[in-house]
Amino acid sequence: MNSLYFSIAIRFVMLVFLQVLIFNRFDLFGTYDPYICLVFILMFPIKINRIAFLIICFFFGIILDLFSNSYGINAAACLSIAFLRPFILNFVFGSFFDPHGIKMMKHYFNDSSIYQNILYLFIIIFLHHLFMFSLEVFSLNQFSLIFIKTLNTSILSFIFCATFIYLLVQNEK
Amino acid sequence: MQRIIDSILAKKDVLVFLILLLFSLYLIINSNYYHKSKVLNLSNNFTTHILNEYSSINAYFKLKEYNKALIKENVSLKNELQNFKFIDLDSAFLKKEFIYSDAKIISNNISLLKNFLIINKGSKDGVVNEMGVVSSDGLVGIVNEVSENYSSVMSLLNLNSRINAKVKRTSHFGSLEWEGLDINILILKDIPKTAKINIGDSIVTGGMSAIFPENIKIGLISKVGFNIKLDNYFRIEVKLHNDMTSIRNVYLLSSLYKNEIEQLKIKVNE
Repeated sequence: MNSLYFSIAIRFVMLVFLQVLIFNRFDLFGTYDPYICLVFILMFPIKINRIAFLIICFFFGIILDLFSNSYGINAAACLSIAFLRPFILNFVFGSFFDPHGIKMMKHYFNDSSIYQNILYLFIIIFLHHLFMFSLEVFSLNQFSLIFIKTLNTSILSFIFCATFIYLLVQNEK
Repeated sequence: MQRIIDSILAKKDVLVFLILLLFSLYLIINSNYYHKSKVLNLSNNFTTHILNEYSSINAYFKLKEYNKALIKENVSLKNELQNFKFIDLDSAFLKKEFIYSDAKIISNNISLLKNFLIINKGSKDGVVNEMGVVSSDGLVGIVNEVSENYSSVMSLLNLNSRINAKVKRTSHFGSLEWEGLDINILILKDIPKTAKINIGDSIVTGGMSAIFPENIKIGLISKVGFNIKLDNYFRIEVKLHNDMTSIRNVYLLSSLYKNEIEQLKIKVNE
């Protein structure tokens, strides 16, 4: 259990710095940055108690906010994703999902079909971006703008996160 | 009573979620006000410190580019100065309205819809709210929050930013906004259809506020269209001169007559 928390702490620090110092400066196609920090939430061990998960994700978001000068939007988006993740896991993996966390996240990625993996990644990334951009703009007038921005950024984030997770899972074997 | 407590405890994760969500919503709504909460200001100094160190390392590798840009600016300024040397003027008679000072951008975010920059000058160096920020190529933004050593600047690329601008050739005024997707294009609104406007006309600041002086260049008109057919105003796309992704050295503008103008406005409102 201790080593589990230790690896979470390392991922926390590493992904925050990767996101803030490198990926926030990508500016692909002008204005799109991939959100690789979502790997932290996507790969978070299921074994850990849900309340601890919520609190850790909240602070993860707050720290991202402090670095990118955006007050609270990342915190709210990360928190909502953390809250919704068990339902999404249940929806995507069905009976394969066990809420007590005997299986590790890498088993989910290895033992289920590629469509399930893609669906899981895309739902979480898309919802995160949707929450984030709509909280940022905070008005319904610009829904089409929010939607286009969300879709483009999520496709980009999806490519980067999928590659990152593939590398992580491959190396852990 | 026991039952109520039990039913709450059974769903304690929902409770934690709601409490944390309310707190983050509080932060978001609070950030829209002028004075942000002190907690965030304090910790902001710690993160900006890290960003400052990192950007100074990064800047080292781009020194060549920065030098080129500075020399280019020097050349154009010297050429401009030539025009004035033949005029015999005592500098005491020249009226100065704005004072320039230098600053460096340490964090530049453009991927969000309400983007802010951070610069390395704060209240210690005399920065106050609503100072204009320009680069050698054009506008950058307006200072919106100041701490002791750093200040945050609302970028041109922010859905909330409104800049008073005019078409240089015809002197028609309008307000310049960003639409959220293309970082090179801003939209100039409120120019009436009667104005004779061509593609390629240059857009400069209007000088209607105490933030920017008149005639600072912004960009060129790249497309002229209409919002709705029956509307009486143009929708003009303006291509920016400066590349917002790679700015480092900027100038802060402080108006010498700001207080006077504001006092006058208060008097008029009364």
